[in-house]
Amino acid sequence: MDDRANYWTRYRNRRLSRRTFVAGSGAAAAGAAAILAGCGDDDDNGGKTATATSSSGGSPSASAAASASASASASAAAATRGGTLKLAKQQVDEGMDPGLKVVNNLDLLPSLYNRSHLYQVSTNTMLLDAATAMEQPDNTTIRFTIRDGMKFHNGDAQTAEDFAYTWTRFPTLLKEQGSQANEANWGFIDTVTAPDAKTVVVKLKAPSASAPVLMATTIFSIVNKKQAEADSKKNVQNVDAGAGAYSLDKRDATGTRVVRFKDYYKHEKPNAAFAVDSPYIDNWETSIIVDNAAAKSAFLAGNLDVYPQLGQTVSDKLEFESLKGQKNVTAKQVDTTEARFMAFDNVKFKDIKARRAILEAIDSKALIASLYAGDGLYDGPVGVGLPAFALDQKTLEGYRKFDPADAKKLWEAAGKPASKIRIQANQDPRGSSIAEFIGQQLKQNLGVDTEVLVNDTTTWVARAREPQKQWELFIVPYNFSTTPEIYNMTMMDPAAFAGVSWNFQLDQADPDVQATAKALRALVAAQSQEIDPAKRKQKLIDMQKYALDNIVPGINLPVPGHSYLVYNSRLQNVPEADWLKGLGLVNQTLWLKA
Amino acid sequence: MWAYIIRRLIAVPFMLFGLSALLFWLLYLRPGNAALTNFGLVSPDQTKDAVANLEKDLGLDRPAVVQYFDWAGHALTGDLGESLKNRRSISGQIGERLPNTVEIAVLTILITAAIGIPVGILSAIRPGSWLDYSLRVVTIAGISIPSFWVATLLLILPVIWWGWTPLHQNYVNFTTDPLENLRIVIWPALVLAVSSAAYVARIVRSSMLETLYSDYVRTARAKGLRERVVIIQHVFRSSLVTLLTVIGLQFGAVLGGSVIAEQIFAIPGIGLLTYQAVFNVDYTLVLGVTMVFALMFVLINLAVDILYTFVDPRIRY
Repeated sequence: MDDRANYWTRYRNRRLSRRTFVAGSGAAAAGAAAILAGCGDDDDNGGKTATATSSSGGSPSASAAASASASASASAAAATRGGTLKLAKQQVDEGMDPGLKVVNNLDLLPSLYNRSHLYQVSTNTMLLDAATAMEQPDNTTIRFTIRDGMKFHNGDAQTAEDFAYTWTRFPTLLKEQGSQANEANWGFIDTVTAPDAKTVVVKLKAPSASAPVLMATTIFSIVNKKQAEADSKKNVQNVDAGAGAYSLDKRDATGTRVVRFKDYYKHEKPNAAFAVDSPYIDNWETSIIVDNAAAKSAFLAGNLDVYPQLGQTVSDKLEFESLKGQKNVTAKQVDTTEARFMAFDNVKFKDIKARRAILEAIDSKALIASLYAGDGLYDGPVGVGLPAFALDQKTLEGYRKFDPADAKKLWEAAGKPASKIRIQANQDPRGSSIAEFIGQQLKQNLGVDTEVLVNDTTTWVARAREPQKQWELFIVPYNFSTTPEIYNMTMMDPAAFAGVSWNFQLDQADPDVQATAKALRALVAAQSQEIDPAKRKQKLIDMQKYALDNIVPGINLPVPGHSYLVYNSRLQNVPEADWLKGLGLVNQTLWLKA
Repeated sequence: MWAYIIRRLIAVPFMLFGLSALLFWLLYLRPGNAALTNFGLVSPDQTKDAVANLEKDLGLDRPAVVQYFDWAGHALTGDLGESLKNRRSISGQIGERLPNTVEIAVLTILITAAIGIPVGILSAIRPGSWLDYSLRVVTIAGISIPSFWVATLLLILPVIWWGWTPLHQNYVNFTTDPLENLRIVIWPALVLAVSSAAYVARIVRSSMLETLYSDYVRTARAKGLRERVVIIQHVFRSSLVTLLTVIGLQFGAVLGGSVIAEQIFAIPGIGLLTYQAVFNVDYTLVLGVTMVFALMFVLINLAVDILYTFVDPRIRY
């Protein structure tokens, strides 16, 4: 049935026979309530078997892992084409411009827009998309060759000029329109030029180890220059200006719907995210469901394909266990993507003895036992989600010594810098439980009065930003990111959030705080500019040890050992290891079992 | 009566002005603003220009009094401005969503009346009976149980028992498909009607019990009127003024309750819009929506006052 045919159309087209009328009258008398309550079959997964699409070969210059490619090909052979993927999110998006808004629009951006390439964390591989080649002739140059024949959804040809335009408009968007993407995401770019229609040359300000990975993120999605320039504010907030696999069909207060773009290009050389004739799924529908119980109800009834919401995993092990046995539900344990940082007000805690007192008064093992049911990991400045660069668990455990007697002595030696410790959290349920736990520990082990402050996000952000902090400790929840600079270090780098939010500025009036901030910033910059992987790893270790030895500008709190991925069993070829690490929503080899 | 209606209508703008000023001030006192919600924790490169520029662009750099009177001036001409968050016209957003909320409210009141009045009457005409006790227990439970809990149970239990959910993800307007629309909105309306029907039932019962043993009712019975006529035309009718007052107030309560019901049942109504606007410190949107709520409440109460004159001819304005 055409789901766009409305009631009146169907009513007009309906032929009513006498028998139908009699039967209908009887049924109506008996079951008006049942009609209202009746649950329609809105499963439109009319799948068609796709042709096998495997072909060998990796990307020309980006090293697509052979195993990933083989897996994509094997899956593609069995893939079924068609169907509608059904998702939920909690709030309406604030706009569709990938350079301007990156909140609540993850159902749209990866569908509507293409990128030069993607990054697969689990295999540390670049997966080419709009680019057919990506090379680095020297430490400060990245050259892309883009494919022929790409079209935007409005029919315009996509050229190298669109790439150059997209990648050079970030500073203007930030300054003039308040972009949600900050310099940590694109500040490494010096110039971008398009010497011909197929070549894009990116010059970096300095060597940057993270640049290729950062250029694979959503904000680098390519927008149509003509459409952006035509707008009075030079943005594409409310128009579909992409050349991605799907074009926009619906966007309103109830959610969004994207449909397969008829002129989408083929990926002749498939990889882990793209098959030759991908995407397999015809449409993506996202509903606005604010309430978690409502999302669960819809998921268990088969009306949602992923639980709980777009870009989220189940974090409660008990809930995971309860969902595991349900009909048509696939529940998998995956690496955690959660992280939490507890910042000091670095002016109040400028004495390292005070910072160490706080650290030694918190029993991290007990925190893991009581809040993560024993399944937890110690976390450090790089973040456990990047095992290639993170410190090992034993080393991190060594930095989390629990010694209440020593803590008390240190606290007194530091002159008891606060008569009361206020711990600021937001409405993140686990974060506020952690705040309560830490409050109890500090009260018990330091003998200091504590108070947990839980506020909505707006108030919480304002509290972080005020120069005179109304808190002593501040807890921030966040998720995995693909590079050290925009993962845990975002919280710790004086050039990122730590500067304004935790009084850890490079020009901080207190000379001790300023010196520590400058030293940490120098170490962050040094690792960032180191291209050699082995040397970079050593520089990252140096950076982490400096932060951990000096306990600045806060403490990386333990994280849960696992996250739990829960989805409808009809969803196939789910990239479990990468689902929440960038590839979940752009993986075009996902398909739906009929 | 016309003079009374005009007097009431003249008071409306003054009331809305006072309400909007108070609300604006409360929002202004709150830490943070819509510009900050855009940026999150804010890194130094953003503090240099971007936050200030966005605040300037949104007009948040002006003194509070200027911001308020600028908004109020435009509101007087019917222009509620743009949302600070998504820059969409507030009138447009309210226009899209208001019918959905009003529909739920009307349906809730109809269900409330359809359940609450008969239950109240039954309870009143058999005072002290097992039926009366049972209905009183049920109504007390209905008043005591919070709506969000009823809604959560309504979502979770059917899916556990039968694999079916009353939640519809694709909202359909009444004008597009009335039956489909009714299948969607019946559930939030039922949830909201649980407590209001229970409340109405208790009011009807107590109000009828007051008059059930009065002299004129005894006279009616003595005249040989049938019991049904006595109950409906004499006892129940005298309760109508109280009932109308309660239903008018319930309409306001239902509008307030729509914030929770719409959130749980994913209905794109004005309640859900309010919820999101408050969290985003989108003061222009909060003020716009609240003005609409307040105006509706005032008009409903005015309508109730007018209806009094029809149900009780002794009332004159």
